[in-house]
Amino acid sequence: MIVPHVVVLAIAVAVNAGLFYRLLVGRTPFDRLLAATAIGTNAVVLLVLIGFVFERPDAFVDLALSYALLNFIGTVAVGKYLETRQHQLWSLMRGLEEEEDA
Amino acid sequence: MNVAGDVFIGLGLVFMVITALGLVRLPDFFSRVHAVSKSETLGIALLLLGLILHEGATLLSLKFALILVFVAIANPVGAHLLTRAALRTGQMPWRKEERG
Amino acid sequence: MDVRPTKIRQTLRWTVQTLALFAVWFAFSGHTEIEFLVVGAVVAVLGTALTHWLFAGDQDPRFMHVPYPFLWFVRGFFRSLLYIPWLLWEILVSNLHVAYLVLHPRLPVEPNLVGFDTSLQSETAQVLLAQSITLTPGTVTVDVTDGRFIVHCLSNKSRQGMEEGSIQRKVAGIFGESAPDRVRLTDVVRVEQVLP
Repeated sequence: MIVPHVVVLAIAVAVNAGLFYRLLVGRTPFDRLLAATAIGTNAVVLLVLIGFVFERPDAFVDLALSYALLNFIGTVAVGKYLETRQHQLWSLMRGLEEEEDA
Repeated sequence: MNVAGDVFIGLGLVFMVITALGLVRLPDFFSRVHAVSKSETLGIALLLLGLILHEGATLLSLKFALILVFVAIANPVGAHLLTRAALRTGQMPWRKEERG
Repeated sequence: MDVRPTKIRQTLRWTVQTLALFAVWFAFSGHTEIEFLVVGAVVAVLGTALTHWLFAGDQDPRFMHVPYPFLWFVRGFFRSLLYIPWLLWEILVSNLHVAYLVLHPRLPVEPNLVGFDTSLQSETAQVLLAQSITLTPGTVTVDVTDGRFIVHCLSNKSRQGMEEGSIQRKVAGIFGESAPDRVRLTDVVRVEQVLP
């Protein structure tokens, strides 16, 4: 390999810095959630590269795979939670409006 | 083969940098989703493809391919879910006219 | 067509799922010792017992649908072989477009939210269309409810792409359905237009 894995790893970590900016600053909860997902997806690649740096890629790729699965489930769970909660809120408001009309 | 792998890894890193830049620069949540759902998917796909080219046909490559397929499916679905949740909580996208 | 679960169907589904799970286990572990295989078999059966209801399309009314004829699958397979390279090319184009928008110093984005009704009938086709829209130039599917798509476009160029409806025609081609030449887009500006 012409470019050593450590260099690739360093750039990938630097990319994460930009994502962390959005995670910390993000104006809405969804911005933060999006950044968290992106960091999680990046972490998959980081794990693979760390495996190459430590010369044990076969052990780390399993971690990466399970991390990819868990990351997706985490996003779905939080997104679904926010949506359901807001959905209940909307229907509650609609109910109140109907009561006022009546 | 090694050179091709390096080229793929380099391109993947470029797209990952674009993802981070997009996430920082774009004006609102809905546009930022574009950066994550497209650039990040392609970036990771290219990077893993490069690693597969380096590795050759082994069990490790199969696992890389599995990660690739999974990320390619899960990332757009996750982005879709987040945008829908955002829209249903009453967020509207930023529009250019409103700036003036 | 009768889609009620018969003994044969259930047995077949259990067998296929268990074998698939066992194959995944075998691929991940990479060992051929007897201990690994026994544990893998036990886990595969356990996994099937826990999740087989997910694939019970003919038992749960939520997943009820008329099964496609066999020839449909054959035709769809060959048509999707043509579709996949086109999709990969579109993914590349879309990424270059987003990269251009992000890297441009003045950030020339003109985001807008549009809605349109699809002509596709089957749910599989709608899911494929939604995924394809998300992966193609500057558009992200936000919501799909009863055939109504809500799409976020990053620039006017991608909005025009949506109006031409070429993705929808391609997907319709795979599933043997019809699609119009132009898609009528409506702007979504107020929250009330999208609330369930």
